[in-house]
Amino acid sequence: MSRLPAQPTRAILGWPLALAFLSVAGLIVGLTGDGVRNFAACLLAGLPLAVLVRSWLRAKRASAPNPGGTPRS
Amino acid sequence: MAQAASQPHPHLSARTLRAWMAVHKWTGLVSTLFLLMLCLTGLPLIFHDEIEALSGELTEAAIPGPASAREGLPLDGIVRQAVALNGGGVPLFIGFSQESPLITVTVGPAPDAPAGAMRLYSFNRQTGADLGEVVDEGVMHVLLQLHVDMFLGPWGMYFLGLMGLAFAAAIVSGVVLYLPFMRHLAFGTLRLEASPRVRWLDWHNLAGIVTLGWALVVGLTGVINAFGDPLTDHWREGELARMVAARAGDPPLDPARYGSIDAAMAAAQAAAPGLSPQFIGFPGGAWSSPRHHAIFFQGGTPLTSHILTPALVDAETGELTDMRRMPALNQALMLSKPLHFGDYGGIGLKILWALLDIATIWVLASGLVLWWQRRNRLGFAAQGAPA
Repeated sequence: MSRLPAQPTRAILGWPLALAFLSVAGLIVGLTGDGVRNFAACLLAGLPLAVLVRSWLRAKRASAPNPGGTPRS
Repeated sequence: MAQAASQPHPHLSARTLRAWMAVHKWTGLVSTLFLLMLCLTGLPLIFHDEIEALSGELTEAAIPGPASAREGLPLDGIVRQAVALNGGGVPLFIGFSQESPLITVTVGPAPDAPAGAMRLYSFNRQTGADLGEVVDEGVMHVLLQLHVDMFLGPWGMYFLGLMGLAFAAAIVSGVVLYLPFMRHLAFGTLRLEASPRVRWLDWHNLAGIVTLGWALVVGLTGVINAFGDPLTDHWREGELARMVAARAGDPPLDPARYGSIDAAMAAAQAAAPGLSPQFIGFPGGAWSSPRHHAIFFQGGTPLTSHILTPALVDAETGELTDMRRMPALNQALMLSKPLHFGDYGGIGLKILWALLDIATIWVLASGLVLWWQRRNRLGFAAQGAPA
């Protein structure tokens, strides 16, 4: 969680806008049909949740006092 | 927020930033409690089909046979049955199913009866069996009513629509504020070991920014739904009035002189091959003219099934008067319903809807915590207490 050098706006907004675009595209794909399209809709609309969980797991690992998992003496 | 103000973004002056913060704070504060209510009541509503099936209510899947929108017994007989069950009155709507023989008939005391005076009867169009009156009651109905208008009628609905607009403004201002906050942080950063305030801030920023697309879609479609009745009134008084302009000024048709609804359907279907009826509005109601049966067809593909094309048939003579697609604004209203309810992509999408709803509750709650912490800190500072 180190402090980065100042990032340009497009770097800060890149991931957020890509996620917003993909998840909304998923919501619309789901409207256009069933079957494969519903599956695609779930995958795309589920991306934000996957990112949320991944960020949380990474942060937990990074902040764990004992990343090796071996018992401390 | 103090952190951000101390390191303004290159494209945002400190003054602009303060203005966006004020927008975010006030739109958020004004709407948060209502949005929390909407998220909490909306959560079980996502699964209303499944919950109703579990509680033993009649579901469409339990009625085998061809869809009532395609075939079955004559409509005139089913309408007569419904009026008889009601002990008189006039038919107001017929609702078709695209999946099962279930068909519903709404009956009221007069053609322009208010929603509160309407009663809904359901039948099997294959067998003619009476499937009972559909009554709005129970926990799910209370949740739905809270979610739609908080039991306050149209003004409650418009108020929640405004809260939806405030939510959209909070989201947009939140994205602007995301820039200075994240200027030195990687996407997805959660500083779990930092102070509680930084932890709440990181959660608020991350959960808020990843749910951006979904929250905007559900928020704005909720706003469109909240203003759905005025949109329908606007259609009836504008486009519909133009479609039946030849009979403008004629007195409303006496229900005793309504012609056959089956003849009307046949006339409309001759002009709309391949389209499936979704519902019929009888003369004098919110969805028709004073003299016409309005038969609303839906398209044959999943996308066009949300797009309605009304055919107006003279209720007395059974002749087709006109047939036109609904205007773009009203089409948007039709598409707003599935996009708000999340009920169009199977159980998988419903589960995602619920999880994204919970993520939104997390954003709202963390926003409230951040505001409370900052308020207390500033309050102490003002009294000269140590920070």
